[in-house]
Amino acid sequence: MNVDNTKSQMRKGMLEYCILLLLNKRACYANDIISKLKAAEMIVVEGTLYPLLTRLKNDNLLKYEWQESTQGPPRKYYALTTDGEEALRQLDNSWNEIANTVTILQTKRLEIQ
Amino acid sequence: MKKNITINLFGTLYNIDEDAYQLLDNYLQSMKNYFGRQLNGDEIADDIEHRVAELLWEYKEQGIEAINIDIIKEIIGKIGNPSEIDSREGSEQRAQSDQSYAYDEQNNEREQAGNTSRSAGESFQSFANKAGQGANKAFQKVNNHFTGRHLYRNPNDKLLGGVCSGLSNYFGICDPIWIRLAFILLALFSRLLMLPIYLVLWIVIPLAQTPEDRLRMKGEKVNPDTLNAQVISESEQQEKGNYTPNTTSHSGCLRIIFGCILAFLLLPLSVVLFGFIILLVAVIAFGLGLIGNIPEIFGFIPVSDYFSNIAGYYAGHEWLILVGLVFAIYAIYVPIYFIVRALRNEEKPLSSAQIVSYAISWLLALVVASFVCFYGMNNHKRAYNEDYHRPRIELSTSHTPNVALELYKVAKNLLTR
Repeated sequence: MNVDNTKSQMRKGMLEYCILLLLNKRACYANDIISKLKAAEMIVVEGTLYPLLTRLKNDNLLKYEWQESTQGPPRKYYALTTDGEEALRQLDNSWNEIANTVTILQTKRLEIQ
Repeated sequence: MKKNITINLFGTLYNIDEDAYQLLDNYLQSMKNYFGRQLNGDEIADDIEHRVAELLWEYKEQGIEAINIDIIKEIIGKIGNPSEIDSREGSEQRAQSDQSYAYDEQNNEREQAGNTSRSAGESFQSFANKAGQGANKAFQKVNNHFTGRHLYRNPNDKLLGGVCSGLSNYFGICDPIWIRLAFILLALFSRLLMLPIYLVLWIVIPLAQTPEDRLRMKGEKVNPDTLNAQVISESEQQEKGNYTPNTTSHSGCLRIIFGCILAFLLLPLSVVLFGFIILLVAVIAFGLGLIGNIPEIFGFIPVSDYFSNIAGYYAGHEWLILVGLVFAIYAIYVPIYFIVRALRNEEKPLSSAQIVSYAISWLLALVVASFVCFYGMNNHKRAYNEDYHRPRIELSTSHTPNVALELYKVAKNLLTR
């Protein structure tokens, strides 16, 4: 097993959930999302985000609107659709289950030791 | 000093060095090519262009007047190359290259271990080990050669579709001329069966459209460094004008029409080849005639009487044989030179004066060689009082050495098929 590969796979699996979390209840433009994900070391190169956002938009989980900016080119502000909110709720649940399971396994390991 | 251009990105003007512009343009273009195949791929490419504009804006805010190539490299490193970005394919590819790298390392270690454990008592063992290693190494060499190497048509060096050039890249042959020659010879001797094969390859093998494709075509690793180097070298070549990226992709239909035209062009080519063979026979005949004529020097070379007789037809004018030989060789050399040039895809065109002088001298050589030929044949006719309309070689099959006979058979086959 390649540990680095597994780590990057884990992060990749979490990425969509994280984006939905960041957009919960407030619209953000791509740069906000990028800086937050970068700070959390979720992404290595910025470009990774754009195909994901487009895919989520195609799946009707996100919508966006253009806003003019005084600082540079116009920006796309992304927000959750109602479908997106629903998806976020489902992902919340499944994440809690996974986290729960993993925590149980980790405590079991501690007990054995 | 560098030339500077002004670009307009979403309504804002940026001053950018020419080489930096070239790199940025290639980068955005490769994004478009890469994501263009996906659903809403244009949008992704557009988002990335917006991001580039944003980053450029930040540099402008910092008071940087002109964008240079280092800034563009930094931006590309930040945003990433298409294969790094694509979340689905990228992971697999990176995992694969990681694995092959790990494999290399392992093998190196094993090699080192093999080198150090060479004690006298275990000579046979080490020999067996070495033999195994040698085979392993050879296999690995072949393996390494093809891992990460993809078969593409090469747009930078192509005559028709870039198939031969792509194949030579794939098999690591430095000059595509050999594959091209093989294709043409096979086409001529396989009754043009090779043509449909070429067409199928043309249609099936994808063109190396992006700089990444072109790296994989050469079997080089695709990472930001190599990609930048590739893009820069391509833009340099583009400046020199010997780089011809194929932006207009031929449709399959157009290719087939092209192929049919090629087929019609190749048919007379076999007639030309026949002419070549006749010239070649003439050269051999003149050469052997000359050899037969001077037994003092060439006595050790066995020449059939038939060719020794050639000198007899030029009684008193033996020097004509030498003249005929030189001019016949020149008449063969010129077309071969042009064919080789064409197959090499030579960039430097000949000046029209050169072409005219080549054409005139070639015609002259042809006329002189033919004159010498006919002069000898005429004397031959007179001497034997025979009809010379029949081919000369056929008349004396019994005396003809096998080489000439075989050449004649080949030529006859070609002509009558």
